[in-house]
Amino acid sequence: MSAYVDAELTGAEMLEIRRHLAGCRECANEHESIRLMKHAVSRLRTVAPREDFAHFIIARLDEVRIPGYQRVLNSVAVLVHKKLSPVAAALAASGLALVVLSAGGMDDVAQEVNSAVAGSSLVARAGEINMIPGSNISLRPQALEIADTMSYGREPVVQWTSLGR
Amino acid sequence: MVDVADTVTAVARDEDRREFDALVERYHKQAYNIAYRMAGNHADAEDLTQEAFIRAFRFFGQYRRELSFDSWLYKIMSNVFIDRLRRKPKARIRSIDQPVLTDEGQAQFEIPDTAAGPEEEVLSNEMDSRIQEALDTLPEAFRLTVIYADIEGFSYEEIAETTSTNIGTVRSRLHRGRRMLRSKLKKYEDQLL
Repeated sequence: MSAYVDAELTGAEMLEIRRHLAGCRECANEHESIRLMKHAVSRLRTVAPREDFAHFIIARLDEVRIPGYQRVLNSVAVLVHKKLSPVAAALAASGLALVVLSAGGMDDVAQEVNSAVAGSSLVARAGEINMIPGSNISLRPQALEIADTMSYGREPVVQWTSLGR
Repeated sequence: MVDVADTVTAVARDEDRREFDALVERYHKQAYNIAYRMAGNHADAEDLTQEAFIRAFRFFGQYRRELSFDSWLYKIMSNVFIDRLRRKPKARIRSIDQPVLTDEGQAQFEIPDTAAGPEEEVLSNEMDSRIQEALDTLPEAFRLTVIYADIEGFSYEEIAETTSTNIGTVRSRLHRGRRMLRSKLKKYEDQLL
């Protein structure tokens, strides 16, 4: 019934339910109460933050220190996104591997990433980074694999696989 | 090779920062409103909004511009919200008509509504508080789903993306969430119209 109220059904399904509601009092009542709840929440007024809130957030950003490995990860994503040189992307990515390996273990990194979100976009993109034939850089797609950290209702799923191998 | 990466990053960083500041300006009110409805009080709404923007900034390099920024931000905010609830089992719940302590003593939240007269405003504030209190009682996954659907007007697909689940689950959470709301607000049904 909620999907009907939200118009999230196909045209045929919407029509079928509409016809049914015309002849079924019980379902018509259910429909009306669900519609009323949607209306109740949507009518809540907008709550405004204090006036200087945007400036406050922007000032806080000055204090944010982005860890080295995170900056490299971000730059790889930017490069791949902008479809710049795959060589540069691979170099930056191998920089990541060095940063991570020189960190002396995976626990700290995993801990950092554990608090992260929005890592999922890189999973697909890592596969797009080309190898450099004949060079020592042998970046395999799985070297950058980060599971989506956006678990919901479960423990965060964060996995680094094959890093440095 | 680390130097190459650092150089590339430094160039992108200034650009990103300018873009991000503009996004904060543009989306902070909308984000705050949603955070308020999730958390049910101003103090937690500020924390939640702030933390979501800070995390978004840290991962801004990975933001895919083809997605809307608000959906991406809400995805982060949902995660922050759930993380915090896990760490702090009993979330502070405060009604918007409950006095707050300020440096100058107690104060009431002021929510202007130019469309309504004083009496209508009082009634409207009361009803807002009741609806917020009912929302606060929903399990968090249901609460987020209802808020994204009915306040933000997201499609089921957008909600699924934002809360990292599938459309079937969104559908079920919405339906169950609204039924729970109905049981909480049953005695006020006439005033909800």
